[in-house]
Amino acid sequence: MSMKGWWGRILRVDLTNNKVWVQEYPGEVAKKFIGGRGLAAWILWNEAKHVDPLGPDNKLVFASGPFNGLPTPSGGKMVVAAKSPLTGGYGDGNLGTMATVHLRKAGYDAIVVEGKAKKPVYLYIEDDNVSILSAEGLWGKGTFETERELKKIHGKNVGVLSIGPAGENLVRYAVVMSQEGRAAGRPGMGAVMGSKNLKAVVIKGTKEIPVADKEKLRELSQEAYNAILNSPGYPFWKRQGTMAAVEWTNENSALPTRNFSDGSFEFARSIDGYTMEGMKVKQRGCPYCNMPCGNVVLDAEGQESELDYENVALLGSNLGIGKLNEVSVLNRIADDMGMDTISLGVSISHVMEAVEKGVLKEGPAFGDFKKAKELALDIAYRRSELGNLAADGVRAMAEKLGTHDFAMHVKGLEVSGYNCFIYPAMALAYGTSSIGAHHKEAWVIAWEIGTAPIEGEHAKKVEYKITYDPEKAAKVIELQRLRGGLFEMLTACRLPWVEVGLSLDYYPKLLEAITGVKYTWDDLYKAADRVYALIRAYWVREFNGNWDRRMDYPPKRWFIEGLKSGPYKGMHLEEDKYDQLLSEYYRLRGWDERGIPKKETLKELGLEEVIPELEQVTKLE
Amino acid sequence: MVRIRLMGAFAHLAGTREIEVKLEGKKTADEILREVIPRYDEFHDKIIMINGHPARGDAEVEEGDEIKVMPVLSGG
Repeated sequence: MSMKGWWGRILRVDLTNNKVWVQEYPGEVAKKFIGGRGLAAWILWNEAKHVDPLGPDNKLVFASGPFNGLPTPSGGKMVVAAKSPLTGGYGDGNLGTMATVHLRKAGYDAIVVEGKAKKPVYLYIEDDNVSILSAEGLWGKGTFETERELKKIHGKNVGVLSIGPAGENLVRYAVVMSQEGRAAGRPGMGAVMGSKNLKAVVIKGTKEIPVADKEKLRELSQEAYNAILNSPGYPFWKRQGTMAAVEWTNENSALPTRNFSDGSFEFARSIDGYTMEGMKVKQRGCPYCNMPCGNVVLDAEGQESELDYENVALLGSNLGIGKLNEVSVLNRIADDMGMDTISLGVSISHVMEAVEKGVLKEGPAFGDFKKAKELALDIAYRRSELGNLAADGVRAMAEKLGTHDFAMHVKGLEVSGYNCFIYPAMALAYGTSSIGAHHKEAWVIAWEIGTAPIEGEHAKKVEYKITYDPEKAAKVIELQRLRGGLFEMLTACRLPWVEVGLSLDYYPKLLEAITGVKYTWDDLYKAADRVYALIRAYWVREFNGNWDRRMDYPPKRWFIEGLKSGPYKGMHLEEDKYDQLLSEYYRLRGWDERGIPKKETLKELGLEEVIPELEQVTKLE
Repeated sequence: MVRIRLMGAFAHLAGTREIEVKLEGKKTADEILREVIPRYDEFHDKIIMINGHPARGDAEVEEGDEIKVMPVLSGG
């Protein structure tokens, strides 16, 4: 296939039969699904049907996009996707890694791994040469050491993706790691990798990626990189990165505190960005990024730990732990063991609350760093009854313990760093995200706070009110199209736009320079809507049509309790009003009242082929 | 006097996290903040609180008020 920007080639690996081949995929698919999440969703829809997520038939997809391997602003991302062992639905996540650069330079847009190796193996890819090598000497090692060992063998100029003990032991929120601090695949992509006995993927690529207009690409990228450096927010971003968020989420009652029972933390100051600045020893970043956000500190045990807001919110205030050097230990353990820091944090906080309420007799109390650390390691190795239980995530724990009232998850994926007692739009964003309660898609809370209605002549001294305007549903969709759609398909980091205000206009221009294909904003939104509809169809199919709108509800806690302290004490969401907002969301998406795309919508999005298969499990409107 | 508490990038740009300014004549929150924070208008999303309550930028500030301002960025 002669295309620019895409190779049109997927590397296929069957570990059961020790087989490797290249699949060419049609140019039409590339144009329709662009790459990354789009390509992954297309592959999983077609191939991972009614599979056991931890069985050999599940497909593990490493998907890059047209931006990768080329000088594009913060364009060093990769999507890792599979059917999720945590949620039972579509699962994915992205990370910044040299592996995406090398994958593209090796001549592929994606890798799909299926089957299960008899013994631990790793993949070594050097352009057209692909080997399945023994990883028996690496099995059991943490992700930091695994990557160092592999670089000793294959040289430093490679991209490495690996799992740690958590992935090997099938912890349901194990992730795929790279470069000691980059993680992907919250809904258990690391466990899927472990289930295949695949310890790591090492890639070295040396080819030149075909680009439609090299000069234009260089020009646009240079301009965008400069715009980032000159933005007024850039100097502070360099100092604190996402850690600056601790301060404002705490101020706005949105900081997850003690298993989301409250929105502000009395020790927030000691885990915030300013405290981090005092501990920082270096900064790490992703390929092709000029606004690196990996703040590396020394933890309480003298080891390096790479912090960001989510880690600190979920492993700090959410556990009632107010010392940043201790939080950093938990974070480093999560990264080295290959566990998602968010789901780990919420799983531990669920245990803590169960202990507090007397549901569990033993386990760490809020604020108990030592026992929290012990539990984190027990989870990674599944080595105690409690560790084994918490390794299955919050939904599984709630089903076993009857603790649904404080089970902080959506569709089985634990809630990330925003407590939403007073934020209906953000709750809707969590409710309707493609993978469960994750913020990467519609991070609408900033807009929701910033545009809260402030009425009156002098526009001051007005109380914040919780509102459910229909435009909140529209805003969630707008952000899903951009963040969960465009950026995830390109695949590029959204932060230059989100954090320092880089103009969105660069993205279609860059995409055209790379591929030669002109996308209007309508085209890009349609592509994003297509991916959302396809992923929703995937969930419905995998749940055998047993689907209703309650799947898109946020955790019960936000309806039945109020904030414990602060200016909004006692306030919470109302279920019937949330439900109306959800209806508006479905209406705008062209989905029915159960949250299933209508036939007409699927046709409009060019997903006709999905209809007959979906009709086998449910009746479509 | 009006006390101003600055958060995030605003604190960086102003070079301080807290400052007191003299109120001369009638001024809105935006007008005061513009004098304290370089490139203030380039930030599109910001939260302004006056005396602990959300307020718009065009709110008139009175003697003795405390303004808190934060850019809504980071974390996502």
